[in-house]
Amino acid sequence: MYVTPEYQLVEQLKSTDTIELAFKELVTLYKERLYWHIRHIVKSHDDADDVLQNTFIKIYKNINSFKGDSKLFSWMYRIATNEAITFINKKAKRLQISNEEIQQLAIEKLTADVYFEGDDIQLSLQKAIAILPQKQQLVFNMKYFENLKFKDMSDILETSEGSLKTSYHIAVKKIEQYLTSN
Amino acid sequence: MEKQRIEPIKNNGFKVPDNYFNAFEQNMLSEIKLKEKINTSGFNVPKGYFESLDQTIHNLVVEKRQGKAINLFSWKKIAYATSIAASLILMFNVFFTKKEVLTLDSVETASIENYILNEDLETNEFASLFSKEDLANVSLINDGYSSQNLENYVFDNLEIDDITTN
Repeated sequence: MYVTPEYQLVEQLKSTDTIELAFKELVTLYKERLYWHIRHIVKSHDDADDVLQNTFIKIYKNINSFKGDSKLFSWMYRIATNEAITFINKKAKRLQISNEEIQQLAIEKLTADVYFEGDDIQLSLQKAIAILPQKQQLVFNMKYFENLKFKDMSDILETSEGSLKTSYHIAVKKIEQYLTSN
Repeated sequence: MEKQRIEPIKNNGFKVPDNYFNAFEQNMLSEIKLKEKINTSGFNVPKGYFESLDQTIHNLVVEKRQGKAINLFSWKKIAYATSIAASLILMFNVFFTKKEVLTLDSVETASIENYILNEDLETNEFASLFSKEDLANVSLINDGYSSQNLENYVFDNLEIDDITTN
């Protein structure tokens, strides 16, 4: 029987003898992909760093509850997405403003952010993304910047591929319109 | 034997959604045009961030595994201790302190008079506070007032209606 590398890694993560090494491997494999996924949601590097650390802690703590119904990769992306969205919601609650206002605030801060090197057009793209509904933002970022397949996105976001494709094309159209008119 | 001829199949049975090819073309063009303009997000990370991230996460995980440091003086413990102390003080005050008993004799007469005036008691209410025996023991009615004085008081201060209604 052929054992996939992912299955092997999950088994090592679930064993107390091998968890340490296996977790190191997991972090090395996924740290950048998860970081960029989170960064596109929360925008600031410091916030992305916090959320990424929380994500890995959660993965470590809950690895035994991973049943293998989906890919390990999809499961981790789902945790990262939930952590990032929860982070934004908590921040909005703390500042007593809406989620949309939090997004606008994050975009306004980009011009002074040393870890944003985008030009005017890249800034405009971020502004255009920020006014999209949350689901369309997620789908657009995951497809456009992270090059995820619709099938994988479907596993992560637990939405049908057809619906995700529609959301993506609508998002592209809206962004195109925004960039033309601005 | 006559050979059976198979009719040529003109339709393969597959269908596409309405307007699929038009929409496909438009979607593709929109995406290509956008990617030509902007291909990256413009976000950056501090130098050496990803290299040090493994160690940062490893340290965090080790810290979590070893358990949280327990603060001996957590606010919860302080709150519990304070409430226990407050309850004890309250208990001592309630059960072990001698109460000063208030009697009618300890209240000054002037205070009683003021109370009666301020409360604006009706005659009936005031009378209901006394039993018949109490009233029989009151001797002031017979003392110091002559019939002539009482008669003068009645004529000077009361209307005839007051006398007939009471």
